[in-house]
Amino acid sequence: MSTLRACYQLALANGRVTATDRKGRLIICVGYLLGMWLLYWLWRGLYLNDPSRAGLDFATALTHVATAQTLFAIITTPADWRLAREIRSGEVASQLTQPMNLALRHGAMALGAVAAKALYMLPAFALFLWWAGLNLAPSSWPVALASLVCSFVLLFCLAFIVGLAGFLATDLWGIIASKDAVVQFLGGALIPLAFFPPAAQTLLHVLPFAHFFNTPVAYLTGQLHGPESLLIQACWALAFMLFAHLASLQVQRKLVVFGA
Amino acid sequence: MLIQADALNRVYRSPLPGQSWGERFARLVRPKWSETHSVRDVSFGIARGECVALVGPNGAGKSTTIKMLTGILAPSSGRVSVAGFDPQRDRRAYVKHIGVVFGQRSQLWWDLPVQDSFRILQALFAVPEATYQQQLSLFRREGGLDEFWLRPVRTLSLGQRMLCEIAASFLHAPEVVFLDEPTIGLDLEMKARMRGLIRQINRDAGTTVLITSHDVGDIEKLSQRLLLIDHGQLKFDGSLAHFRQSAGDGHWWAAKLGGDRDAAQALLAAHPAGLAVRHNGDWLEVARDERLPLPELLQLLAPFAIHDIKPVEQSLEELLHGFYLAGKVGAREAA
Repeated sequence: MSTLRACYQLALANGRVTATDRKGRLIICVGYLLGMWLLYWLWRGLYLNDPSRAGLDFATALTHVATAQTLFAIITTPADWRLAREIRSGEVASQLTQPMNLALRHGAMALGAVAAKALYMLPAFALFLWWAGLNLAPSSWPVALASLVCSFVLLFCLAFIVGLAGFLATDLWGIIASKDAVVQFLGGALIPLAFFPPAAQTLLHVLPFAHFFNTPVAYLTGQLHGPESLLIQACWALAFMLFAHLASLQVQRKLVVFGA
Repeated sequence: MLIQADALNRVYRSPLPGQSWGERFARLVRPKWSETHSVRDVSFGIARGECVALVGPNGAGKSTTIKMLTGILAPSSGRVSVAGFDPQRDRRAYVKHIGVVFGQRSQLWWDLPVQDSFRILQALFAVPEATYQQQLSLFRREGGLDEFWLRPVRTLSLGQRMLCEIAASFLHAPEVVFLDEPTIGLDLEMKARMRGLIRQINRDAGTTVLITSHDVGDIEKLSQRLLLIDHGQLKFDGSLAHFRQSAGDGHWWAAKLGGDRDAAQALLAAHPAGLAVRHNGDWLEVARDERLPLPELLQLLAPFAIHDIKPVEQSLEELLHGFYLAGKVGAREAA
């Protein structure tokens, strides 16, 4: 109970920090809408001479990509940057003198940031859907939301594990940029996985990649109905949580914090 | 003993770079390491309610020792027990019993008001509301915490922030508090206020305090006992009074004379006690010893027109400086 209360306080605090910057919020929303507008015209161009590509019509493909990009903007948290910075600065020393698991602490903070970003970005997303004449039609909202939660867990755990590399490497820019690129491309955030060869699609669905974005988006847009993909996604989420926990323990065992 | 450290060692290993390309590739497979002993065979015990200063020059191993005591670092060998806990093994349960201030790190939230940071800490440490209010009351009353209670941490002065850090470390009524350079960068008034608060909590609540500081004022005003560490080794463990007696070049009488100082020096040197006599600027100094009591000394120097006479003792800062210097010379000679 006390752990839950602590998580709530951390999530609330980080949510407030994320949401307080009014000018930053405005710039992000304007930039986001501009990006969506460009995305619309890009996909419109792709479908100009062909009403169907990879079995998807223009509206379905655009809804998929726009939703995936919105998810990327909302549920991807800078937990990797934050953790790496705290490790390099030695700030992690203060956190280790508090009675909370490092992964749980960062997870709660990431959740707060995601909730805050959702509050100001979802209206912009709704505005874009209205302007482009698109809509989300999940066959089951609970399943779609569960898939979103799993997606958050997967992305957070990955970011946390990458952030732990701050104990080993000085500059994580290359690692984090590569991770974001792989997660977006193989996760179906840049283009729907339906555009990939069938064998690659099967492989990406069995591996965790499809479950970063493609699975929750497919549930949200009504492309997926059954619970099979959600079950695979949930299994991967559990595996990632376990791996993040073990990595955290291993790294803390080898921990060295230099200086005062 | 509330804190017990037995034969603590901490060795840092760092890879040795190869000199040639061949060596560099070979070291990728079979690396060679250099080892630095940051802490070497340090043992001490601290009883409940004590306020102890852990001092030493930069790089002596103070912070490494504190980190091992707080569970952040695992000792390479040796054993630590604080309040019945193994700090590394039982870290999450253990940290509920300790408070920690690292002078150059913060446990507060930069962008949030002070009160929000404290509420987060209250939730993290599961502090009951009554304890929370009680612990804060002293800092509100004596520290003036209310003046900046609603201000974001980023807008606080260094002194105000440190006051908050110290208040935060006492928030969960810990049994022991580790203060690593808590007054670094503070002005005289703020230092005095901080020391007063720490002293009061140590005295009234019986909270054990282990403080590291380069500020002699912190050591003199707060601690009754000194742990002096140098080159990773514990060089002194005892009371401040004992340190003053055993370190430095002793106690002297200093006399300012109107007459011939050389003749006075010769006279004192010829005294049967055989005490050391020296010139120090305008002063003639003679070692203080019961074999030459003050009345006899005054009688001896009377022909030389005594203008002034005073006891001379080295300040703690001078004593510590001499101690550190001796350590450096010793290390150079050993090398």
